[in-house]
Amino acid sequence: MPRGAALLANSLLNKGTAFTERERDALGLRGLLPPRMFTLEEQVGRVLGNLRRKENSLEKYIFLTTLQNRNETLFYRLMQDHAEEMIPLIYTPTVGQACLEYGAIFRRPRGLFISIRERGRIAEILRHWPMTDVRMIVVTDGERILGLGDLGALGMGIPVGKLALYTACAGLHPAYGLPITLDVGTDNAALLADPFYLGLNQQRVRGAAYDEFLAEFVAAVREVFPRALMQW
Amino acid sequence: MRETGSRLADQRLLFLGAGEAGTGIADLFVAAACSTGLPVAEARSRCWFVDSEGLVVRNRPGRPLAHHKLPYAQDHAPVRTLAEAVDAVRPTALIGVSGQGGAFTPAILRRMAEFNKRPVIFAFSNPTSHAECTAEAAYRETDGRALFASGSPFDPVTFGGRTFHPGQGNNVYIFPGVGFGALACGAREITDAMFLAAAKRLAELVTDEDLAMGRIYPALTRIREVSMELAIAVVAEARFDGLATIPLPEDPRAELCARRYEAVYRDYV
Repeated sequence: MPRGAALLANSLLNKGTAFTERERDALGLRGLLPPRMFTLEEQVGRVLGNLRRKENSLEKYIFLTTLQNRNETLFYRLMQDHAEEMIPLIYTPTVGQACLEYGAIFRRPRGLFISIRERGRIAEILRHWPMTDVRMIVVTDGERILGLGDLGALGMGIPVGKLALYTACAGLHPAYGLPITLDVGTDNAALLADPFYLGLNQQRVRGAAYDEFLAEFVAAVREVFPRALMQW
Repeated sequence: MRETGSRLADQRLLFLGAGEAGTGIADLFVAAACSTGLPVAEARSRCWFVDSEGLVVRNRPGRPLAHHKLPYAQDHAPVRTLAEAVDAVRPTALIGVSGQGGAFTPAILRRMAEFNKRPVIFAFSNPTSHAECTAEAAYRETDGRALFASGSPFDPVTFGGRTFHPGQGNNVYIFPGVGFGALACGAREITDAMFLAAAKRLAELVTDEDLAMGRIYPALTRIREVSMELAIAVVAEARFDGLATIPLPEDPRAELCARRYEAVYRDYV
């Protein structure tokens, strides 16, 4: 169990202002949090108020992503209790706009980005993922994102959103999910010219080189995460 | 079909867009129709596609058809536009998977309403700006008779004194429950039969109240319950097909509920 600031930085374990008095003493949190303790329900009320103050869906998406990276329990409590309001924000239609602007709104990465430059090292990269017991991998190469076409590495919003839904809707433990983007370039000229584009700045690799990359990926997943299902 | 009073075998589906999203839906339709006793060829003959070069027909001049379209290439003279295809096929359902916003024009919607008492209009392309028509247009042009669903949500529409709450025909209803069920029973692959079992269970979960509101999917507020029901159906199908590798109790409900992640804080000390 991490302690102190490291515990607050761990989104799966962090409770923010809901850490109890005993936990604050035992886990070195005293002083790192304001004195008053809040319940999960009270925290939901606060984040819901903050969310609804945001002026548009993209701002709400950014807010929810930041919450997910900070405190996943609170994020999923909010998803579960307000599914009808939240699902269109973390998935279609908002996620489409979020993908289009994924470079510009980028805060911190979530999931694994595996580019074709890492050919031959995919298993090694999968082992960089901090969770060892992955059960569900959602993967995209970003070529056909919703009806929006080739978004290259910006397609990552889709696997991230799908896995959030696995947890919020079906109850898959968040530690079991792994979103992956396979970046083989993009043929989207606007992205290649965009100064904030996050992916490889090159045309899409196709044909045999692409097939070999994919085959290596599938074999590496079987080796590193043998229990995982893959959704493409 | 609960609403139209028809059978699966009575349907004629016209898809706009012949990508794998469309042929995937058609494949499931065929599987479902075959399970009611219809031969495969018959079931396929009820699925028509319009792509960028017009109606998908056998021996179409121009580029050869992509592999995944071949099973749905019908014997028919070439037809260029969607409007002409609607006249030629007289579909019971128009299914938009094209990414072309507004492709279901008012004239096309009105034709659908001429052919059908309850025309099925699915504008599945995402996001909202790419939907083939709006909910408002679907109800307005069909005198409120359309059974409408879209991939992205639309606000409720009031037409002719009725308020419709169109459903979001989104894969969020299906994949979380299917994946959870498959993982729980250790299925190593997810088959069409498992998707079909999930789809049938989903249809059963639509209430009369949903239908009265113009909604052909359950309310999203029930998504946890819906996903659990689908997961149970998927486990049953996987067992039946011999794909389950992890033993579960005969009735797996309690076990699946116990394995479900709950967003609550646990005590650390």
